[in-house]
Amino acid sequence: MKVYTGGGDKGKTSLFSGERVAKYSLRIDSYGDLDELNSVIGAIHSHLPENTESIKNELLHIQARLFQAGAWLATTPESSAIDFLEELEESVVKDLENKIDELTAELTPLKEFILPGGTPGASWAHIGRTVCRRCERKVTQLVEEEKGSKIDSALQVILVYLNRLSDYLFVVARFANKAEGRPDQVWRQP
Amino acid sequence: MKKGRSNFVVTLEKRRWLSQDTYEVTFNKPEDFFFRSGQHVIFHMGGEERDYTIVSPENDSCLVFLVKEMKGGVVSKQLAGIPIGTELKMTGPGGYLVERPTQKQRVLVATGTGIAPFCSMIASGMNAAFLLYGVRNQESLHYNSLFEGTALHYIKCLSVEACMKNSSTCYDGHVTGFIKDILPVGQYEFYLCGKWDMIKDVTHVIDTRFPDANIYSEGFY
Repeated sequence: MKVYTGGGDKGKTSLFSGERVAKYSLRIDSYGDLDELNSVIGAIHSHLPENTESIKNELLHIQARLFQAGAWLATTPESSAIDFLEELEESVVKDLENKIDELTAELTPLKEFILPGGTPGASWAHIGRTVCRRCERKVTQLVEEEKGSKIDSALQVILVYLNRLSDYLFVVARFANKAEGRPDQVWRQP
Repeated sequence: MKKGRSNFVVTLEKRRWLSQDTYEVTFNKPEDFFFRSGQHVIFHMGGEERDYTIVSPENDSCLVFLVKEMKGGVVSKQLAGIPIGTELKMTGPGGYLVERPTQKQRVLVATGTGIAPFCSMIASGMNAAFLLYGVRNQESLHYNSLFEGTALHYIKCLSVEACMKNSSTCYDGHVTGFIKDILPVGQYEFYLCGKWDMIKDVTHVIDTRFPDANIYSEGFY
């Protein structure tokens, strides 16, 4: 099966709400980053060791939520396409905070900066964290532009979720190192 | 996305051949099955899954599908041969090629069995300004009577067979050519359904001629 349609060869692409927009538009940029983040989470999933099943399951849930979030980023406020969309419930943020607390409780308290890296799983989690931060920055701009619109509240929840997600990926990185007996590399002034 | 898909068991009630390789199958509509015109379902047969768009209107008592028997196609071949009364697992509905409120004029563009969603939409009362139906020849045009009695400008685009002389409702060429050369200037929303190659070509033409138009599309291979 071919996966290309060629519909975007002229530098435009379709939003979920049907409008044709330039590929460099903020919406496309935002959900492009979200797509990248989702792919990196797939890489984290495949590089985590076997004794991290609960984290792996959570990553799959996160990937599904990011799809849900992506549809909001690809929809304009006045579009009837909103009827198809379901907002991320605020409870998903709380759930993620709980997961962060659970993992953090199993880790040595952090008193110094650590270098991003370690095991393949930890390294991918650090990459995911940074991609997530970039995505958050783009969505922040989108939220700013859509303030007061019909999708304002939906975007706000996505923004908070992304913020917690980068924190979650940070603790996942540390947990991945711990799970394979590799200490985090503490930063030292060169 | 809203969660709307469920599993159902439906029974084949009728099969009607429309041409040498295309047929219509009718199933009972489960009481708790609701869909919007333009949506599709998934049929599960012999370990395979295929999407089929519902042809019948939203308030009909049965579910009708248009199927083209494909060379080497597993499900289309099985659906062509299973006895009336056979029960099938069906999942759905799904898909987003559905009516969107608009102030603009709708242009529906279909090739081949891509006509399916528009049959349901028109039969359910959706207003559209144009329906461009691209096929190779007259024999491949289905559901003419549904479209001919409406206010819709129904244009048959024949890519192989020639149109009758002086026909104002027939165009010699592909749907792409009609949009590029004939479709009047206007404010449009396009709904596209057909093979991805057509959707790609039509999208390019729309981007050039109608850059402000919305495009909703669903393609297949």
